[in-house]
Amino acid sequence: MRELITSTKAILFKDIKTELRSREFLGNTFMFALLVIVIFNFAFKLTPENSPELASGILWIAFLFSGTLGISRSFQVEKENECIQGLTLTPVDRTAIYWAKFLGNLLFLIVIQVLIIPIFIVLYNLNVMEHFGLMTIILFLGDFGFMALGTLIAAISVNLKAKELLLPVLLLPLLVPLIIFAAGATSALIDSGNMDDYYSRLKLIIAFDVVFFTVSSLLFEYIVDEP
Amino acid sequence: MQKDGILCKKVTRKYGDLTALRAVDLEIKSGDFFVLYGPNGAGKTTLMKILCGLLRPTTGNATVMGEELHESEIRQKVGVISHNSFLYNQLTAHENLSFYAELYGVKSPGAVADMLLKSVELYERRGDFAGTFSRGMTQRLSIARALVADPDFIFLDEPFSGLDVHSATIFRDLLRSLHQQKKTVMMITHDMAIGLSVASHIGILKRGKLVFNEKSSGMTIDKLKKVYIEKVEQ
Ligand SMILES: Nc1ncnc2c1ncn2[C@@H]1O[C@H](COP(=O)(O)OP(=O)(O)OP(=O)(O)O)[C@@H](O)[C@H]1O
Ligand SMILES: [Mg+2]
Repeated sequence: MRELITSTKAILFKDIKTELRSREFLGNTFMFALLVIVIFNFAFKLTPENSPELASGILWIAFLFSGTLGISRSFQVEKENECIQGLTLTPVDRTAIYWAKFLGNLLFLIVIQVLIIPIFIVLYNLNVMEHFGLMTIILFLGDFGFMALGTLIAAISVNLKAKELLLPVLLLPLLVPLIIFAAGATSALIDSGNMDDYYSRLKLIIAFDVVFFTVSSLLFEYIVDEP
Repeated sequence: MQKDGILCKKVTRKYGDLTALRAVDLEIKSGDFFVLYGPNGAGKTTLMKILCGLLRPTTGNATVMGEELHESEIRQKVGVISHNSFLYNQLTAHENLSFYAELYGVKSPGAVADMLLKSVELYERRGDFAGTFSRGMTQRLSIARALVADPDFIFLDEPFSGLDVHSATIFRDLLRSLHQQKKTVMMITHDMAIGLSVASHIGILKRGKLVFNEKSSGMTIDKLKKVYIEKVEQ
């Protein structure tokens, strides 16, 4: 277990280091997420009444798209010079590769969210302060499930032709339940204020997270080893 | 049966309809230096990838020390140089080596990285990004990378490609010292003379079949060239 954590840390730090050196990717993804929320802001006729209702959906779409970009990138860097083969040649447990990629992707999305959400709140004129803690929990657990599944799917699709297209095509349908729960819980907070709704969805999200994180941790070694 | 070397039994590998290896039987005993020749597309890289655990055979099996290569204890003992460098362009030479050293559980990754950088004469460039290196420098760095965990089994796929005369000489001396240290080496090369100068055993692969496999003692370069032409072009 200690080795697993050490190698996870080594790979994660390596990824953070290389990502910080080519910051433009983070910048571009942020611009992309920003565009999504700005364009939707114009596309819908937002009124004080419908704004909270639409807002949570739009927010999750922005995160979904930018998160998917980040996930796909996380394995792209390993394809350069076939580093992924170099990684699989090391005695490192494959689960460490999965955990490192998962954590890296999670961190990436959280950074985007920290930058986007304040702008979003202003743009959509939302009152989130009273539920700030509960909102953060939903975001984090939603991100967790998204990345648990997304990291697995990215590892599958990185060896396929047309991977840029296949990742979203494979991943988005599988994420539908998570998005429904997360957007539902978000709108329970900022719109209806129905806390029963919130907690019932929260439970579903946690179940999703646990299932996909466990399954992916176990399955990952069969995916990175070439057939 | 010996359990300490590399053993390959009836290994066949298909890529879709294309059969790259046909029932290859090969034993490389511990301490042997096996050099494999063969024309382009003969299946040499495929064979090496199977032996070092990067590919699975379609049928048959390959073992190192009697174990399948998917065991992490075996991977600890294996070093590979392939057509790809496995290096991160965005990391410096030193960071690349210490990253890999860390993954192999090497005691002091930084110090080992420095030592290896000196041995491939890249110490002055250790702070430069691997992505900015020339072809030959990249090759030298990937030699260092393969040796990071002081492996007992070393697989080299055309390791001389891109090396200048000076680096090639240094690398050949390094290979000889590995052989003296009783490391088990499999090397693919197209350079008959260099291969012969380090080999203890020689093999020739043609269209997925091992058509020649003998000790190198008594072999001269002229004889080898004759054998090669005979075996490959008949
Ligand atoms: N990933 C792959 N998918 C499909 N076919 C492949 C793949 N890799 C190799 N092959 C095919 O298998 C055969 C053997 O290839 P291999 O790379 O093992 O040859 P090689 O002996 O190493 O050649 P070279 O001297 O050019 O490096 C070739 O016909 C090649 O086209
Ligand atoms: Mg080859």
